[in-house]
Amino acid sequence: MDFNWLIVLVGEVLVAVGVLCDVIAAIGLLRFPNFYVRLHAATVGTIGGAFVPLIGASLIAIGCEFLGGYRWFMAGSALITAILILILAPAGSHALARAAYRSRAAIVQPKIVDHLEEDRVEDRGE
Amino acid sequence: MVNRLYRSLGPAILSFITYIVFSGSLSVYDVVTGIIVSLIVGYMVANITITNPRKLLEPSRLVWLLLYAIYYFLVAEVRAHIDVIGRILHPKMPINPGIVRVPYHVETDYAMTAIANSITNTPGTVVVDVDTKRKIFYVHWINVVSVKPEVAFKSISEAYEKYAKRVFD
Amino acid sequence: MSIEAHVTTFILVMFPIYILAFILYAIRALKGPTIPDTVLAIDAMTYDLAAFLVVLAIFFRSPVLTPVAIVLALWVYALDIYVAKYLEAKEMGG
Repeated sequence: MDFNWLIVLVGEVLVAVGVLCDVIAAIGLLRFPNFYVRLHAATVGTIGGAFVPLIGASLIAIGCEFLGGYRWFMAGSALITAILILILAPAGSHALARAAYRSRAAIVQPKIVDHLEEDRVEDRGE
Repeated sequence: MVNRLYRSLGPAILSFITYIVFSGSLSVYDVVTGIIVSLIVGYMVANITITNPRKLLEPSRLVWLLLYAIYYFLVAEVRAHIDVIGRILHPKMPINPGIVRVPYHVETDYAMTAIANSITNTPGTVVVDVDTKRKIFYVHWINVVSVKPEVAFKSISEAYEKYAKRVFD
Repeated sequence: MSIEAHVTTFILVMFPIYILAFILYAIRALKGPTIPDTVLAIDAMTYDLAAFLVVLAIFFRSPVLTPVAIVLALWVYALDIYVAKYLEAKEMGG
């Protein structure tokens, strides 16, 4: 009984943190000036906003006995989805950033420094 | 043939654990199906995922992986999240972004992937491109402290590299 | 208060905040000046939708909804790779 309450409360805290990260990431996506800076806000949305609440939902599902025997399946699949997102999200945003840079679909502006541009100019032999 | 079976052990164990956790039951049906499916899957992917199967059997690597996970989720992620959330909610939005060179010193592809994913998964740093000849990641950094590669390496990826080297190299 | 009532109330409180986040993501996806911006907003939104679906599955007590989260995560990853390939091919073609 007490263990169930503890695990449900921890899960609820994680879900609440995740929801807050979601809203903040959405605000960041709206406020930031260009694509590359928005990538950082989107990372807050995928790790803080999807990975953390999935772990929390998994803990809630373990503690909820009213869900019946299927609660282990719900908890397990939520955990696997969380780990999958942890692996897929960086690969996806890395591919997107690289493609946006190479095709000049998004310009790096404002910027302090751009070493990648310097090295690419050097490689072209100029 | 024997070598390939030996190599298929790692992926097979991993997919069996995934199967059992996903299905969430330990009934005889699930265990038997899981063993059969994971052996087939492990044999299929053995040649393209594993080159040195002996690394899987060293327990010290697993301990370092556990330490890596604890450090990464409880220290690095929390610190980076608070930093970027502060920048988003700050009325003046204090950002000075730029793309800097970050060198790396590991050999295997798995270690490289682990470092790059760790850098991208912490808010505030995203790997834009990689140069395997010069051994450099090009990292878009939301708050460029210094343009020197050594200083950038120290403040972005030194801790990840220390763990990744012990786990995968 | 039983666990059941507590969890149900908690998820009901979370609902409007999730909806607010999705509306804000959708504004960026509709505005987004470039193609990568739109895809990035859809990307973040779908990963959060996957998490929201698991929470909904607990709320409606229906285990059928949980595997949908894994499918959503995989599909949006496929979208990322597809758009990235398209953008890079455009560069190589001139």
